[in-house]
Amino acid sequence: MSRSGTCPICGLPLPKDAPRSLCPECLIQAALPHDSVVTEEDGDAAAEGPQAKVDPTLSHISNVKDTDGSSAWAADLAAPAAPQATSWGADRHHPRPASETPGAASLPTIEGYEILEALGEGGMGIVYRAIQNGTRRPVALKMIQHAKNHGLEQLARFRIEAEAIARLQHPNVVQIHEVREAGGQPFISLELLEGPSLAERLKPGPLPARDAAELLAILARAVHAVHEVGIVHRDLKPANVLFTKTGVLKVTDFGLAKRLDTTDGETVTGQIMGTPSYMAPEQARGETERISPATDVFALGVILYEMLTGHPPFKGTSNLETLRQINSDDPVPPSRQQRSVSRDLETICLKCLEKEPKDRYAGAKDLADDLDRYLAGAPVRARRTPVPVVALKWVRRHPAQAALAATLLAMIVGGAIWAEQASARTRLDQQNAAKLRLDTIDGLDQARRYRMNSAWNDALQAYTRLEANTRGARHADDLHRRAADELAEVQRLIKENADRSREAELFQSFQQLRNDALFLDGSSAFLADTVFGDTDASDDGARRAAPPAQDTIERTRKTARAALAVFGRDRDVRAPLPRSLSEAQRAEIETGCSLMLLVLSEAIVNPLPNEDPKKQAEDALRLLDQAAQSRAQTPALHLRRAACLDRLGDPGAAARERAEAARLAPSDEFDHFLLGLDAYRRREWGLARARFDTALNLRPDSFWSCCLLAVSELNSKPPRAAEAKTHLTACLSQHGNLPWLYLLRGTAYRALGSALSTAARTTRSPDSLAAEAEARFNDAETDFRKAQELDLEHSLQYVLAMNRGVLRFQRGDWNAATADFEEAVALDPKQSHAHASLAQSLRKLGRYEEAITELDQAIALEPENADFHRGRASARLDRDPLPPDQVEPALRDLETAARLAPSGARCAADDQARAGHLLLRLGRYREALEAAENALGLASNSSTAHLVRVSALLELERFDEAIRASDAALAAAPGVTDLYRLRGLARVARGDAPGAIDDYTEALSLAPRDRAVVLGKRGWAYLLTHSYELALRDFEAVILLDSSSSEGYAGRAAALIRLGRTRDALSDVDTSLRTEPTARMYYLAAQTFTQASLRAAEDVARHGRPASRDSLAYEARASDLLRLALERTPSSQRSTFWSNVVARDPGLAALLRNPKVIERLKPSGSPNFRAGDHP
Amino acid sequence: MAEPKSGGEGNARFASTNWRIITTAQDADLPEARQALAHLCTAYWYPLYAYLRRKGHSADSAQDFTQGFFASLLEHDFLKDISAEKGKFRTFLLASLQHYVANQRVHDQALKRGGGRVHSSIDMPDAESRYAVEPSHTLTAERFFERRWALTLLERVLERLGNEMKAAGKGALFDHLGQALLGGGEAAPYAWIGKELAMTEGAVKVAAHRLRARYRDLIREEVVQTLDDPNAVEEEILALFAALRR
Repeated sequence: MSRSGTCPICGLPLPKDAPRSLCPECLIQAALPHDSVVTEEDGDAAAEGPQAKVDPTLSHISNVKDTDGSSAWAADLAAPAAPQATSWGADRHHPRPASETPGAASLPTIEGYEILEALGEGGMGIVYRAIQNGTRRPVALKMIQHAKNHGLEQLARFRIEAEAIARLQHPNVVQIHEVREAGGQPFISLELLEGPSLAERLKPGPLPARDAAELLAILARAVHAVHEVGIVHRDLKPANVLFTKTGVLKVTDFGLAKRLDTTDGETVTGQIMGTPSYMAPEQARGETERISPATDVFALGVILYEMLTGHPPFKGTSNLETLRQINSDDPVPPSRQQRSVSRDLETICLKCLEKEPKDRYAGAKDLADDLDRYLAGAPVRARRTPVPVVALKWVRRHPAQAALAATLLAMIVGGAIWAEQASARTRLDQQNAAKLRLDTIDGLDQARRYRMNSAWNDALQAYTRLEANTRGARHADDLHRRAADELAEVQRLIKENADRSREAELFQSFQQLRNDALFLDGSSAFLADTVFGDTDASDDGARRAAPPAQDTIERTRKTARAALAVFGRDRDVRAPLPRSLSEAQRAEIETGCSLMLLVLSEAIVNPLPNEDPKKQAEDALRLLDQAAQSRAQTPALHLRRAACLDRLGDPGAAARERAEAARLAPSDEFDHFLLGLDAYRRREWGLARARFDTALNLRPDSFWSCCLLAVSELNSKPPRAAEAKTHLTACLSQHGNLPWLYLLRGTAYRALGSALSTAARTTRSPDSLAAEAEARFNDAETDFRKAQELDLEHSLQYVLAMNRGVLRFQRGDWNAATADFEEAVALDPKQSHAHASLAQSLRKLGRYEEAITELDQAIALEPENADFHRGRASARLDRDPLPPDQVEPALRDLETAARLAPSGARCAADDQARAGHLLLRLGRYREALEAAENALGLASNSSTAHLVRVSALLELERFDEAIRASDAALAAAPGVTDLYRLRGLARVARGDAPGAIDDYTEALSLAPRDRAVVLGKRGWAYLLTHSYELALRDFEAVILLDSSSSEGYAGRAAALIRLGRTRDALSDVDTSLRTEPTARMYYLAAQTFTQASLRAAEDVARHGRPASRDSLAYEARASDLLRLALERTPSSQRSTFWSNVVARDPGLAALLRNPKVIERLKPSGSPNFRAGDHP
Repeated sequence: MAEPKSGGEGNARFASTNWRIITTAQDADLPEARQALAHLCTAYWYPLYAYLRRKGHSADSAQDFTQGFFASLLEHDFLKDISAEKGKFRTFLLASLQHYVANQRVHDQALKRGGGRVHSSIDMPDAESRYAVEPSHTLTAERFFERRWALTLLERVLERLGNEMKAAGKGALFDHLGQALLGGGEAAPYAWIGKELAMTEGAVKVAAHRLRARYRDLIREEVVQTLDDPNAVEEEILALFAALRR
């Protein structure tokens, strides 16, 4: 459903096995119970429901409006720290009634969040329960409504502090996820908490002392963490300490909201009334400039006190009374109320509750440490205050009581006091300082945004400017410090980022170079074998193990060296790796470097033309030694060493290395892979397959094992195309953008297709198989197209053109194949196979001249390739009729092919036999015989060679040898009908007509294709044995099989004339001469007419003149026919024909005795024909 | 969405879960128990196969072990050993398989199969192709098994859900609403889907809501089949979620 590779919900990549392409994680999350969500931070299962609690930070906040002009602004802005009293005092507006809480009907939309429902409304805005889209975590979203009504500085400060806490990430501090604006409206997103508060926990009564101490220690450390980011909480109390469902304590409510809380009287009053028990004296007096971490330490002391005793130390009947107590009364020691409270713990508690901040713990951490000491039973650091000091303090304290009343008044009534104080300063000063503060706060905000958006240059510039502007400025120390700190932080982050991204880039370029080197290393097999394996399938598919091309070797060396150099491993095999990389990345680099050393050693041991092989082998050995340093001994390493030692001419050492390799068991996936690679390079496909398969079992995502396994499968005999296809598909699922993978898979599909179409040709019901083959061929086309679209590098474009050409050649689309091969030739004219393949498809198109030209080029590029010579001979001989000037070149080609073919190869014998056959056709019988005998010397069962030999012997009239040769041939290759026929001919020639009849009968029993011809031959043999009836039957069978067979009519005529059926016989003769008679037909007709003439002469006694006239007329016709026969005979053979055939023919003897006949023959014949020529 | 029918069926299934039938059966030869076991084995054999592959067994050997393991599970008095692992079928299955493989290695005896017993039909030739897409990198075999288990369960649920929708003539709607199962407002362009299927946006939303509800039901139905205690469903779903986290 989702086409892209990432889940639209969580943004994580979709796993390959995602059901229905749906993100399984989100699927199951959607099924999780509605009220249970797994939080990101601690994996707690936290229940979230309508009653879930929100960080009270915002829940009791009121609206802010500031429309009262600039003087109030100036007062606010001039204050370095947030003037709590001021904001409390700004009594202006009424809170929104709770009934206005918006229902689900009008939920706002916030980018990045799915808002589920409103949880409640605080003074400052509504709080929603929401889900953050990317992380799917539940959050509370607090919208700060009416933001425009808040003071700018207040908003800015609010953001500064919220962001500081957001960055804090402490397990015991509520997590603020995000502070930003949406549509001009600021909001914060924070952890949704559900547990009870500490206040609720304390309701039943005090806690055991140890529990209280433990809790407070945790709380104090959390508060310390908050202090460390420069924030004083100011409002610590049990209600602001919450627990998660699993009991994890969280500090909430940083008084942040109070920054915005310009308050209305009621709310503020309510607030003060509700919580003054936890105020430190300096807070109670409104001395905001004295607020420090010690203020929080005081509140922690109150909390501890309450945990130990069940109530806070100061609690009057009215708030005013409480504030008074805080300021002037000493707390009642807890042990007086709870006996179980130990002296040490009490001391700790009272130290927190000192009136003077300097007398308390210096920081929350000191308090936590002291609590830890107490819990461990060690002496605590806190000391009891001696009695005189207590008294002194008390005395000192009382004069402050007057001031206290004024403070309380100010807090309740408003910012009047501040305004009064401010009026003492000059207006200009105020305004300048205010403007600087405002600008700086805005600037910091902007700079922080840059930083969050990783706009590092902008952030750097902004901070630099802010830091310079605030240097030495009045009333802006805090902002200057902040600008300087953040500037330093940004500078550090920029440097870190630069380092990290450089290292990440290095890693990527290492991966790229390693892959390139492996590709180059493996590509000699892609290029030489996979692709050309069956290009020349139409002739024969001899495979070649070509050594890698020179430029491939050079590129492999360069690339492997570059890969090693990425992390300095070219100089030092143990060079340390950058720390920013993950462990897995480092492991990948380690194995990758070992691999590169092996690949490099292989590329080096293959010497280039100007290199000394021995020196190269020594260099390679050195590299292997390096590889051995960086990695434990592996069998593959020893095998490589053995190969180098072989080259160095040290077979003994090589054998030792091999023995060592055999002894060591491969230890891991990488070892198996290396062994596979070794076998792969040696083209031992079966072994390579087994190794890669094992490697793949151990690590199923090992890309190169999978890929090279596929190539090994493609190269196996027979190719395991289906398996290769599966593995390549797996490879593509990892690297879908590698065009050569498509190329390889296309090749696999092609191999599947051709296997299927071969099967279709041999099966009874070929249709479904043929359709299947078509489908695979189409798959191949699709993959090739995809490979082309993905921008193949030049050498691979060539491979693609070749492969597609082969595909189309196999599909019988010669035109398309020709176009592909032409493209291949254009891409790389130096590839002999491109020319040869082009020639093959041109031959299919009948373009023989061009085919021969292409083969000329192929042979020029690779003169030693027998296939090319053989192909060129075929291209020459394909033509019909055969042009005489092609005969000699074709013969030479065949001879060269036979010479170049590997010794003992069947194809050499075939070349010789083909040459013999050609020579036979040309009448060069002696040479034909010689070629046939050569062929039989190479392959004694070559039926072509046998036939050529017997035929040549027949033509040479070496009949006895022909018969013996036939006997031998039939022994070696029984069942060849042509051999029986030839022996029949030879036997006829030796006068053994009965033997010939046996041969022909044998041949007929084998159901020969040319049954009519064999029947004809036997007919003639029957005539020789005077079995005229049998001869007649054979010839009639011939005519039945082929009503246009002149031979059949001629034969039947010969039989009929001897059976005395002259009229029928002569009618058959006429029929036999109907269409373009050959010399033989005339000759046979002449024989029959001669016989007819003799028959008529015998009848003269009975029939008188008519018979005599007939006899003479037949004789005349016979001599005419004989003349025509001689005319049809090529002049060069005429005299042989005369002396060997005509003159020796007993059937014609009567005719040739007549000088008149000889006379009649003369005008047309050669002067050689004389009556005396015949015996 | 065929609520009435599936609802009724769902309740029936809840009443006696497969794994409960098995664990409470006193007699191993009880046909229902055997049938229930066969049903579960057929559904969840693949995670076991994947586990064995991840452990380094070859495809052949993993197939043999899985097949043999189920055969022996169905042939022998498997209930004897259950008490220790009672609770989750998933845990029981993995523990039993580990035991079985260890025994097979010791005895190295030919596997006996058949014998007129109930057989689970396992689609073996498919296994290798499925395994080929597993993302295995860093997971241990056990986590791999759990992950695969969770995925198998999800696949079964989605298949049932899809079949139900198809049967109700809402196949196209299901195809479009797949993303809506995941929840998330952004991911489900209801208006667009409505346009595609000539429905109002509101109708699509209602359908999506029902689909989600049905999906949650089905997940629970499926999960409960593998548990002894029907009350532990939510816990098991959380465990599955943990298994899937990346």
